[in-house]
Amino acid sequence: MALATDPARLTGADPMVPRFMALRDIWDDTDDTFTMELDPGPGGFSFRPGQFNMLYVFGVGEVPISISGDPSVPGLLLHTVRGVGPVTTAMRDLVVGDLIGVRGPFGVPWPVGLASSRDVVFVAGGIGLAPLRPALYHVLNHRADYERVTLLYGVRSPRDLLFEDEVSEWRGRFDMEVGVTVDTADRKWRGSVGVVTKLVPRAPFDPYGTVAFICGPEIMMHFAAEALVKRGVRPGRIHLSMERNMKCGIGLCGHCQFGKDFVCKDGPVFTYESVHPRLDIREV
Amino acid sequence: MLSPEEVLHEHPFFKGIKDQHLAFLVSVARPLHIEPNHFMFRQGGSADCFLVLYRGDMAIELHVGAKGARIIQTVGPGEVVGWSWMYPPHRWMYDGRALNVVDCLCLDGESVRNHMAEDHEFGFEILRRFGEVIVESLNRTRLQLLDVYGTGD
Repeated sequence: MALATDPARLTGADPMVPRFMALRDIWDDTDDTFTMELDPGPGGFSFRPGQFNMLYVFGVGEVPISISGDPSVPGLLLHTVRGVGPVTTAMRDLVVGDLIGVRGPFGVPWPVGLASSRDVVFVAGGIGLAPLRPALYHVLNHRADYERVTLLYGVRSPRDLLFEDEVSEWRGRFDMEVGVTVDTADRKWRGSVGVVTKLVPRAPFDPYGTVAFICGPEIMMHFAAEALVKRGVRPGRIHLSMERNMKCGIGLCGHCQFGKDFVCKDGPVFTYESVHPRLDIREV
Repeated sequence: MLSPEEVLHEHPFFKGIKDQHLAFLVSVARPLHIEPNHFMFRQGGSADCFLVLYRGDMAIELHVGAKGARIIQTVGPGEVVGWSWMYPPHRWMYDGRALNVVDCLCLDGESVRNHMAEDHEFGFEILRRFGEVIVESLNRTRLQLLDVYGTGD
């Protein structure tokens, strides 16, 4: 019996057993980043913003990848991936129709409910926009439930801008503020140059009621969180998505241990208040 | 159009500064209006003032030989531009180009320097505020140097 049609394999009841999904589409977002659209089957794939899947390229390996699509569209399962290691490089070589192993969804989601009736600030760095996008979709799909919505996005250079068309579209909305900055640019770039933290002081939000979601390289998240705290946002209302080497995805193997927590099970989303003391400890 | 006094009073850089210090700064400020793509200062030029931006954005650029001009950073309303007026040889290190219509105040460097030497309390206030801007800028530059969004290869 072919693996793909084995009913036991398709149920996904055991979190350690991958479900097989066919690659429905794949496209490049930037020079080194691509998005895969998987076919989750007739029932679709339910997830919450900020959760991730363990994606298995057969014969190569398994990696944790955040879901980057709209949680209100369960039939469209998207993962945005940066091709940097053997598994993600092999992923980019897959073609439509190829099967991939999927375990998940795993992890603590972005607490979008906590942000209800408050100003919401998203701070994204580089590919960190991908794990934030489902939360952005959720907030925009329920726009009336939130006060001011701001996205601050920093990337290395203009050519590294992720979801460029969508970011432009968001920028054109009257009910959302978008700030984009790049680390370096030539004169063709008309926007801001500098690190993403420089956008925080001028962003339109009331710090005392704001809930912030940050995703990007750890050092960038640390500085962004500090900039938000300096502006007056409470550390307990700043949420960030941590990244560690995850293997099992369910808190058994210990690969992703981060102090007292396992990032796969207790995270990846944590409050800045809870992780702040650990960010300065190099052994953690 | 805002008066120099209104601009300096509202500007975050001068928040909390004493009235007599503000009055002096107003006396050495002159308004500047710059059209898009015009330069406010050029690399190597005489740095005889610093700029207090309150409208528009400005690119700080460095000419990198055959690669042309690279934008090092952009600055906007609420920020101040220029430290070269403080230390010899008082020459701009970069180009400053308006990205859009820019309105700012140009504060005379020599007058401010002399007043800092005469009134140490005023001098301390100015140095403390510029120190904060310089530290902030240094931290941001360090982050840029880390290339945190790179692949690490």
